[in-house]
Amino acid sequence: MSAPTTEAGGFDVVGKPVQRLDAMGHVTGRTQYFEDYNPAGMLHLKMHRSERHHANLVEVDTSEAEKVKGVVKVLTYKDVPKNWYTILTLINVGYPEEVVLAEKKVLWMGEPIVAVVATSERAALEGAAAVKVTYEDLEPIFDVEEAIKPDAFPLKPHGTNYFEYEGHHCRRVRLGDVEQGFAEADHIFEFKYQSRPIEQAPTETTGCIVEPQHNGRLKIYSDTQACFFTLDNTALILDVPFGKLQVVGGTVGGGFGGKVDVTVEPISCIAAMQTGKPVKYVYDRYEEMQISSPRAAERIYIKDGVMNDGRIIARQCTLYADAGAYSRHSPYAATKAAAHMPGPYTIPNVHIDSWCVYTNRTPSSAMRGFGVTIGDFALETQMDRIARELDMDPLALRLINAYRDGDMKAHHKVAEGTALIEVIQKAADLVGHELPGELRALSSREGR
Amino acid sequence: MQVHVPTSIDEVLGLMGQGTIVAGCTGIFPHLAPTESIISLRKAGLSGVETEGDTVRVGATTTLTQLAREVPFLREAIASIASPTIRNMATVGGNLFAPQPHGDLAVCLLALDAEIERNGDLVTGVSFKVPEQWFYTKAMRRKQNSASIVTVASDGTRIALGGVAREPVRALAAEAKLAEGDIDGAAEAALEAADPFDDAYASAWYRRRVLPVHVRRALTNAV
Amino acid sequence: MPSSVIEITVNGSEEEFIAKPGTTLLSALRDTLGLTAAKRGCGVGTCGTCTCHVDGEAVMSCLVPVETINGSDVKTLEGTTPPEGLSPLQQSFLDNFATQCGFCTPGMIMAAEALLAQNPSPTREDVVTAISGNVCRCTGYESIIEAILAVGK
Repeated sequence: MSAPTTEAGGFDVVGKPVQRLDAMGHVTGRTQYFEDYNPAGMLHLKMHRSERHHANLVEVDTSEAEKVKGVVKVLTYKDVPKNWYTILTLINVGYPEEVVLAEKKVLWMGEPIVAVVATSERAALEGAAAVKVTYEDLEPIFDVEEAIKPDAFPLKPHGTNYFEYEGHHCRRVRLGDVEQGFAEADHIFEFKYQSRPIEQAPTETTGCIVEPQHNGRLKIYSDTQACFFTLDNTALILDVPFGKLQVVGGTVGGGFGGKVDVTVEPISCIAAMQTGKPVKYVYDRYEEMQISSPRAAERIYIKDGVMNDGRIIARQCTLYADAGAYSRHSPYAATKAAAHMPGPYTIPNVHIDSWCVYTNRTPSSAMRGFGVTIGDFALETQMDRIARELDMDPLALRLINAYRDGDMKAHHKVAEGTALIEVIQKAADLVGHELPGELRALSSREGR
Repeated sequence: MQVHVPTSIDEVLGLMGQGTIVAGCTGIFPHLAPTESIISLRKAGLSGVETEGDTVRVGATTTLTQLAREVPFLREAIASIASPTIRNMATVGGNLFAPQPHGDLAVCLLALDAEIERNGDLVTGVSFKVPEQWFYTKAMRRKQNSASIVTVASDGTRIALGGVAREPVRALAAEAKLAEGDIDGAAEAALEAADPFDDAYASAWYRRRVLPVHVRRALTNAV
Repeated sequence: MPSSVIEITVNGSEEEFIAKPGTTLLSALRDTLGLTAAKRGCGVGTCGTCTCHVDGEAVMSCLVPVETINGSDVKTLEGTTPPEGLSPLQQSFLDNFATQCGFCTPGMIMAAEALLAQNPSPTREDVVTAISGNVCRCTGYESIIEAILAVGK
């Protein structure tokens, strides 16, 4: 296939401004987001949520909610055909360990317990507020390293507080012998890094409208970033064939990874099936900030063995991704984190443990480069600290250790197509940073 | 739930107790329970700015935008509050009830020793004298539309602080130092009036740490 | 809790409808009148996606109980779009690539319209102030500022 070109070899698109296809709709306000659809007779769903971090549910009393004027349906876990699910089972990662609605216990503050469906948003809110839950409090776990202690209270059905990767307690990367590397090193640098959860905060909150169709299908208008994940997981939860559902999506008022979980569609479908009416369930701003899953908090320890000339000869990284109460996309995040360590550097001895840990915090999930960005912050801060300790130019430290073609990576793959050295050299030029001749002469194409 | 829109003060007074009083609806309204009734002052005839000599009288439901238009020395302070869109709605009376670290106009009014005009429990207006000199500064996380980390307002005699306690406060010890012409002393003494809190904008520690800096800056730069 | 009959002028057209107590202007526009350009991003007046004009001033329509503006003149993005083509601001947003997800765009344009009505030749600082109540989470502020500046000459 030939590239689209005009005469004289000029490009049609490259190097020229091209109008976005959706811009005309955006500037006129005619772009249809899911909430701009307003079918007649639409019902509204609001959630009664856990007010505890960790507790047994002694009693869930919905009688007062049912009495609220306008409330047409009150849904509990008994209304959910397959209440246990996990998003990544679609790609054979994990097992059903999250509930659509809480059954006998809650694992995080904000966990959905009872869904209230009403003729107006206000009645649904009033109904949700009228649900009475009696809790028996359990000790919450908020710290990843507390969670993995052998005597920690097991939060998950499988009996531990970490995700098991093919029978292992974490994702592991091993190259050479770090202990020997540390023994041979001139310096040892060990630092700890900690991030907090980060909310994606899209301007449009998470939500959907589910409308029963005359042909028996359910049409799901959603602002999900993951139409097919949503369709498949929802079908599994409803225990219906995939063909029973149709997702109308693709118009998203900002997502940044915050809209890849499947949290609003399944229960809205159940409400629509039970009432035969269109149902809207959309997070308010408080829910978007407090309930929707953020980027995971990570704790990262990096221990390096470094020679006087700046060569890093051993690096040990221990990462803990705080999944919160449920897996969502965090097992994948921890895998990515393991794949990203030890950074773009050639180090002969590497030992990486990347844990996905469960706590009683809000479940975390995807956000732009999740599993990678916090690791990069830790790695590059570590490099700057080492450079400072050795009184070295931080760019020099990176150039000395940068990948080159033919190097063996920690993941037992030979590096190819590397360009970090050239990128650093160019960046140095752009900011007027002097590099000595021997660093200037380095090339990714020449082996060490 | 009911929405009352009374068109006179008498009508408002007759409705007192039957709902939450709102004016600009920017502060309390979005957080009310769905069942709660409101009494809107929007059409109660309480808006307007009158100037007589050096005394300014401001009706309670005058918006911040209107006030900035009519009273130039307060423009900088008003520009530091929320966004133009919110200032088109938020009122002078409402600002008196804005929980800290909001309510920067209330800090100014405290420094101006403004008088609150009331009819029973209803605030109907405020009045103050235009000061001969005016000092104002507000430290924020960003340049616009953010709550206060530290707000300092002064007419060169009185010093009022925002952001550093649950309510706007007068810094009396600092005023004493200022009366002696000791600005550095006033800056340090301002801490005596501070009882700061942690929130999403700043920690109590940080607020204490930077308060003297901002008091000094405010008092050395007249608006 | 009686509903009220509301009479407001919206984009030049006189509208009369029944509103339940506490209905916001935003909800009346979107759910009753079918004018969905204004968005509900936060419902508490912090994001600006619902920005409309009431009697010529930009306001957060999510914060306006519609009963309190009975008789007022309301303008939404739909009202600024000419029957043919685009308004100068809309065209400038298009030309300056000032949209991404599009969710903040209607509010941004209405905030900018209010600015230009009062100040036809704004400085960059004026523009930044005018949209300081409008959040763009795709963080396209620079192109939005450029688009508004390009119209105000």
